[in-house]
Amino acid sequence: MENIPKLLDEQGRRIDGRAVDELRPISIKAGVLNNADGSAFIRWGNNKILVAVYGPRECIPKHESSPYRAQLRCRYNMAPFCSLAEHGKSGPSRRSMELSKIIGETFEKVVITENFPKTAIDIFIDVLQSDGGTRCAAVTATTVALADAGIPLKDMVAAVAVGKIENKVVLDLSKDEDNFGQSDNPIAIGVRDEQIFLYQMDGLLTKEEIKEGLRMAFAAIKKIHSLQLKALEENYTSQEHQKFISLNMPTFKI
Amino acid sequence: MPKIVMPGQEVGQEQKNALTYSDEKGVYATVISLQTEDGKIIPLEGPYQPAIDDYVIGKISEVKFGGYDVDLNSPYKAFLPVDKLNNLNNKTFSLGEVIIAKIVNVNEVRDIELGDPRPLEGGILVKVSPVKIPRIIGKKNSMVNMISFATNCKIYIGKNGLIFVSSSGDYLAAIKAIKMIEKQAHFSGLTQKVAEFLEKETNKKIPLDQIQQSSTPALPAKKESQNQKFEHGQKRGFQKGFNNFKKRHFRR
Amino acid sequence: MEIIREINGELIKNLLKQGKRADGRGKLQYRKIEVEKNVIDNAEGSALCRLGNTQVLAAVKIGLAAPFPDRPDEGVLSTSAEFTPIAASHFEPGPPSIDSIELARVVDRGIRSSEIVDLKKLTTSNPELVKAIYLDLWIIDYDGNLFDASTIAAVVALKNTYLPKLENDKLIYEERVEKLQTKACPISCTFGKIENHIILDPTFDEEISLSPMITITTTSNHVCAVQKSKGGGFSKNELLELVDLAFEKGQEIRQLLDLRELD
Repeated sequence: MENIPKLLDEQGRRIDGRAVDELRPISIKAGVLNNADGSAFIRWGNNKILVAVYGPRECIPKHESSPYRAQLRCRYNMAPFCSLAEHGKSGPSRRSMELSKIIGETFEKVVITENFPKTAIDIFIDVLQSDGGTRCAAVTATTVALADAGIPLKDMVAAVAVGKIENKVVLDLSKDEDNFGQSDNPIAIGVRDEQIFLYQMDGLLTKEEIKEGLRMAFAAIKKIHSLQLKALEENYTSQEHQKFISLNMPTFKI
Repeated sequence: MPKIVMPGQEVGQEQKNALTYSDEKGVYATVISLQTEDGKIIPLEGPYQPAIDDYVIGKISEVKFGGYDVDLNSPYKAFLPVDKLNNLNNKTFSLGEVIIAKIVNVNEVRDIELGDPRPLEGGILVKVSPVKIPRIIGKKNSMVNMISFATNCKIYIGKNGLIFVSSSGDYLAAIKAIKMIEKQAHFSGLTQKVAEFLEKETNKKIPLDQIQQSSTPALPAKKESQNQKFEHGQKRGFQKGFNNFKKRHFRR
Repeated sequence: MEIIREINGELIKNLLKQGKRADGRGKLQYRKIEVEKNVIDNAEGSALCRLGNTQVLAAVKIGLAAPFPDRPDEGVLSTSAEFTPIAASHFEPGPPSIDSIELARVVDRGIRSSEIVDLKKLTTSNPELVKAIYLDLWIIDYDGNLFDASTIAAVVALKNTYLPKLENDKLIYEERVEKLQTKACPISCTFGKIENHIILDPTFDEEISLSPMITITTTSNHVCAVQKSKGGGFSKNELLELVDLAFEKGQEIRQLLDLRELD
């Protein structure tokens, strides 16, 4: 049995020094790829995730297309070098396939697919470096990439995980807190309409704890949304002509 | 001052159009747009939505008995029926040829019917975001005419986001100017900026007040059926080479 | 889908016949090269290379593996390339494509033959176990000439790789103890031919209309890998001329990126 590290000290500080309701530093950049119709890169703590959006484009295979709306397809993929452990396998795992499905479904009613019958909109998510909470970071970046592609959205979606460590509800679990904690609870929320588009949970929580988690998530979503807006606006104020990605861009505490 | 609005942001109570979404509480932007002082919404990003009377640029992708399939670099199929070939009587276009044509009809599943086709030859295509096209055209075609004047290139604009620049003039400067307008479409005073840029690039004085304005877009000449100087073999040969490439790379 | 590339291919051909390139570059001129190193902290070594609009990430993971039976005293080097669909609209998810396998093998040959890493030094005290270097080439944005961009990214990543601590036949990834020793510095140069014109560093649009192409990887005094690709052929004199050019351009890139070769 491995030693379980102390996740919360006497002053209520977490391993990385954060308070219980504090987010890790985050930074988002929109428009980092030349070939994709829309793209975004997010650094969230130690997570580095790249999202590309193509479409609306011709739906192949044809039998998947619908005469009423665009097909929204999503692929979440982890690079074999993304974790500090040994070199992983490339290709889809059971976990990545589940995440592909639920992230796709998060955006199914957010994207106005009815505008583009018979077409497909493809979302590709590459996790280059993982440190817990990749699906929330991916959902947050995907919204930015979709907006960058000019795909009509009813709302912007931001996501964050809450969880339980040392019997306390905390915001934005890091990898260690997820591994050794008692519960992980990723939540994606439409910022304007306050609809919950993604909700997953494992471990044990009381109803009171779920309520506290939701309160924390709703408060954090507002902050994350402001970063999404900033990323999209920067794309219009910068004079940079070439699109490029800087994997070590600075992150900010919010 | 016009302001940038983001998807989901409220843009007033009454406006309802293709670029907004409304529920019982309000009306919201759906794409990144510019909202002018009088409340008008101008999109800054977005795919091409085919509309009747638009001139679009595409490639003949299939020859059929009844006409031609045209690839518009969009997910939607376009068809150019033989009876829309103006006063041309027999076979006119060959596979792989690039044309600019007018959309005469669009149905509810976005099948496009084309008419008034004209061939495009000897140039390069530039891809830009379709929503930036009005800015590149400018008021009464003033912007595109200015680029044409400065660079001696013939420029034809497809509303589907493809711009044809003839290789006769300083096409590099023309492409740079087009890319500059695409990037800075939401800034004011763009005409002046582009003029300065072109003067620097081409060492040519641009008299802004003398740039021609016209209410109709510039179009290339129609093809005359008697005068078919096409090197069919060459075109087909190229097409074949590309098809092999496609087999390897574009297996979708 | 991408009808523009197809149409512009023809124009590019005509321009090259006049000795001009669509982006205004000289025929033997590289696009702007930029390299960022140590971009993925979780990998033991990494680098991102930007060559014009082409962007390639190379990441090195160190692992433990059984040695190959015919080479029991050498570590393992394994290179793979992923053409992820984020890089271009025609890259599809799924098993590795023919082109990604070719890319991985050409880059692998260049670094293996040049002996940038001395595999003999990757043994452990346990004869059943050697250190393995897993080199992943992650294509992020595709605008032609993946060979050169990937080789540069791979070399810079390997030259900035740290070995994790080895304890009781297990790697402790949290502790990095020493730098991976590297010597040579292979650089590849990709040329394309069209009619009788030779161009360096083709873009995606140019690659479509080119035939044939050749990639020559050199160190400062040896050629260490060559791959002729696409249809068509070079004459003997052309090939020898290109070898000279590859040496010259390789040296320029080493100077530009401040990459030194050690004996």
